[in-house]
Amino acid sequence: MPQNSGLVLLLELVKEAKIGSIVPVYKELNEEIDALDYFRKLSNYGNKKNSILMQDNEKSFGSADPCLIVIGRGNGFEIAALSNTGKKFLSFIKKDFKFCDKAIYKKDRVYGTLTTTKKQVSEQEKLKQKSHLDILRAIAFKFKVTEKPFSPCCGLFGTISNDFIAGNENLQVNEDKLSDPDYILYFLDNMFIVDHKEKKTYFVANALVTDNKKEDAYRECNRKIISYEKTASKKAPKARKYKKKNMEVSYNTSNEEFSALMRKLKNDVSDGNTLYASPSRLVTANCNAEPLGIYSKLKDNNPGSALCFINDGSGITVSCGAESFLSVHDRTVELGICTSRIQREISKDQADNDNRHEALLKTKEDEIFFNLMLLDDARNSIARISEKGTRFVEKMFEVNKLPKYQYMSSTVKGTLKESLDALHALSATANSAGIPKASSMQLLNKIEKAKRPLNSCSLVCLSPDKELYGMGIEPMRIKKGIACIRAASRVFNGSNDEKDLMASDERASRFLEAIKSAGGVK
Amino acid sequence: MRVLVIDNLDLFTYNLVDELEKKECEVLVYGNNTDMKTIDNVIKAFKPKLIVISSGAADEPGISIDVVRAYQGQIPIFGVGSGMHFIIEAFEGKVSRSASLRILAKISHDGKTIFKKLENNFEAGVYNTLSATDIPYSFEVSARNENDTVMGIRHKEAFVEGIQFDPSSLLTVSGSEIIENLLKEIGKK
Repeated sequence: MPQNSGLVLLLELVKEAKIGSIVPVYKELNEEIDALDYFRKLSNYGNKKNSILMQDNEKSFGSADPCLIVIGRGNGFEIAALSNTGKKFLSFIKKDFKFCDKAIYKKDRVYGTLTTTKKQVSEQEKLKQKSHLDILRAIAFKFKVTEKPFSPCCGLFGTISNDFIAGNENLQVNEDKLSDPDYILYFLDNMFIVDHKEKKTYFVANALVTDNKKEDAYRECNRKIISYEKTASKKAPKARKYKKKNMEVSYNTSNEEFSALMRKLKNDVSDGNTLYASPSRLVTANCNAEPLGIYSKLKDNNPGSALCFINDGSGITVSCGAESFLSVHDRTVELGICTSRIQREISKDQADNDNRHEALLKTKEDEIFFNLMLLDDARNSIARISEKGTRFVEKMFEVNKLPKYQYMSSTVKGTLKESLDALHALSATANSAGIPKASSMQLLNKIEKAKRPLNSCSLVCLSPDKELYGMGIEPMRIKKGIACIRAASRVFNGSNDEKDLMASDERASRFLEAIKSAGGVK
Repeated sequence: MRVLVIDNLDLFTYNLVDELEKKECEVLVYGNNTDMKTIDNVIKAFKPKLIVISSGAADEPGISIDVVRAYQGQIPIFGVGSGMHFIIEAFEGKVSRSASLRILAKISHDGKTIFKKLENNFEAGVYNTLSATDIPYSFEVSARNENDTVMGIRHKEAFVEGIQFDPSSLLTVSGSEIIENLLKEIGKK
């Protein structure tokens, strides 16, 4: 694949591309830039609306200039152009939403409604019923990628509430403090990618060939790449100074109420109404620092964890760590689950204690039960969408050690059924309520006080070549200086309410510590 | 063989479906919230040789009990986990909480039908927290665990069987043979 040095050749590629193609245009640097530092410059310290950063051990992706935003809330949806490329994109797909109940096209946006179909059909057919995922499908998979220098080089990136994917429209609406949408995704036509393993950086733009003005599309790509290069040499913006305030933390459910709620669920488990449920409460805290500063502290405090930062204009999503991983690559679907988690003791004289924690993780009866149950559930999810007999457990109960904690993980793989795609895989596997998904969602909906919107969601990246990289995350949402954190616990046959209540607090405390250490609160 | 699975809210249903499909069954899955009229039409058109009642939430049998009542004696029925309990309830038996259930059970059995050629005291995964306490007169107990809890039931005349453990769980090494036996038994009918 020619690189930016071969501009003429790239221009030829764009010229030769058929209408409806995406041609990746990129510049490769033989150095690993500091992705967070670069994103600070690109997004004006995370304050630029519609900026996104995703990082893990292997790669970092970031952009502050997506071409489209897609937002859905209940039955309503809106797709808005954020740039000239976005306008062209919209114009190119404007006739593709006829399957919706209503779709109105304006110059820079399409909006309308779509009611999920609820016909009495087989469960296999249900996965294919009309839903908002069809809207994402119409956008993400519209263009054909001509070259694949790396994947993903563009696509729909963002978050979708897990309850929404599971189809929660029949559930009562609980308190909706955040009034967040059910999904927010961006089409990133340009981004920077840092490959931490290969120690390389890419500035990527993509020529979206929507008409015969191909040279214009190519010039636009070059302009974007030059802009990325200029950003690298820019001076980093400074964080705003905040006057110190007292930190105020509050819970929407008191410890006593939450314990009672867990006892109620334990009864439901004993009565066979559910096998496992993940109840949660909302923790809110005042947040008197730059959100990207908080992200940075989270990164420092949790080395090795997958992180994301999204400023969508109405709020900021910050996540650290993942409950699950989903990928669809070359028709292979892979679901990874991260289960029991325990702190590490890593200093030399504590190495033996660290081994003891690991032994406990592997041998405790309640943890073994929990891990087996989640693994059988993951096998079930993958079996639903895989060709018969192709589903298998690739990795079983491996202990992964990160600098600050260790956790158990397993992965299940299968070959995606011919008639299904990556979004069907997402639909079949997204779950943060419990097992079985539907009954635990109903039980939780009756007893939890708050709606579970983007605080419990899937972070996804859908590339035009129909591949998907996703994570189940429980992020913090920051709105108007208030951070909202979902602290989840677990209830199953043999779970320890007291210990699991503490574990839910520990999840929230990861975010609270980062807020504190980012300054601004005492 | 055509198999209709009544899915009780997706508790490991597709692990079982995969097991059946691997044995060349054509499987249709309908949720327990489907109305009975639709199921009657599906059965009329699909002509299943077996109806499987999958495991799920105990308080939401949906149409499972009605399906057992309507088709027992006409089409072989096999229940798993709560599916077994819904069979018991369809025949006016009772189930209740069981404090002694553990995830890994040792299954002793009578060696008949689905248990043919299986060694006794095989290990199996049990997720269900309920157990049968009042077995209907028309049934016999086909399997128990080490605490004598009922783990399998069989109708004395019609082809209606149920097991409390999950044959598709990772913990049930003999699970595939049980499904194989089930299909063989139906093939004989």
